[in-house]
Amino acid sequence: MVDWTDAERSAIVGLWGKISVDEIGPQALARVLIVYPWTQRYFGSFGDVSTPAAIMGNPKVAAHGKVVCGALDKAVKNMGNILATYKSLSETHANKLFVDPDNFRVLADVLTIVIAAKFGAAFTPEIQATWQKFIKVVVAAMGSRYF
Amino acid sequence: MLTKHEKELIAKIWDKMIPVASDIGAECLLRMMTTFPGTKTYFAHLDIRPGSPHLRSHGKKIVLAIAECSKDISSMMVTLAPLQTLHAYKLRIDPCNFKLLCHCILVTLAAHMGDEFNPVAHAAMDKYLSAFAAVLAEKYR
Repeated sequence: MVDWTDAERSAIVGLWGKISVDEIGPQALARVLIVYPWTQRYFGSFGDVSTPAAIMGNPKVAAHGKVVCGALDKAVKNMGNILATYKSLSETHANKLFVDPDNFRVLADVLTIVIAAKFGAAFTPEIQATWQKFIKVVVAAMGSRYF
Repeated sequence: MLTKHEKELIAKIWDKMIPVASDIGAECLLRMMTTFPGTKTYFAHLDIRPGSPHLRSHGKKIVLAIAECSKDISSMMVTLAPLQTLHAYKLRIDPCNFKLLCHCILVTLAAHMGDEFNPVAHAAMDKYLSAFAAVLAEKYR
């Protein structure tokens, strides 16, 4: 399974502690829908997503962004067992929501950029690398129940 | 597909990076090599420790090439012809690595520009860098 050093654990817990899901979640999901417009295929019921302004002002996008990023909290609190933590969520995305698992990687990349924009130079190359290791495990766990 | 507005936005952003090309370039490379250690294999001949002059001069070359190309995006195929040849026949960097560097360029821009690197700028820049990487790999086979 995945090994975490004490430094890595504390970097992730520390970074996550400074992040507000209510702030970052909506921004990240809005960016996914703007930068990769084909992802809008999953959000037909969300109303107006026709322009960047519409997406950024859409309350359903914001609410869903909070849900999606809020689910990362489980991973931060269970770093030793991320695979098991996301088993049922992975199954839901595969068998009920029919979400292409490549989208997990897309969201992870965009979330990294949102975090970089927020923290600037404090998001050092080392912290970025640790964060990306963490998010890579989450992405893999989310894709693990696709057969 | 880039709109006229997006092309202007991209050129404007890279124009601001030219005076700090060494800093920005070195940071992009450092972020890439720290997050994706496999990319270090292409730099065995250089000193890639943080702050090293090699990292700064190499980073500067990359940033200046991207900035130069952004001034006339429609002529990308012509402007990049020499770099296409260099990458295909001499450097032979596996093109899967281009998207890793592109991602770290976006992270670096976001870290330096903060809110100014808004979703519209992000989308435009991602499209530009993807096109740049695709053109760079054109002569590989």
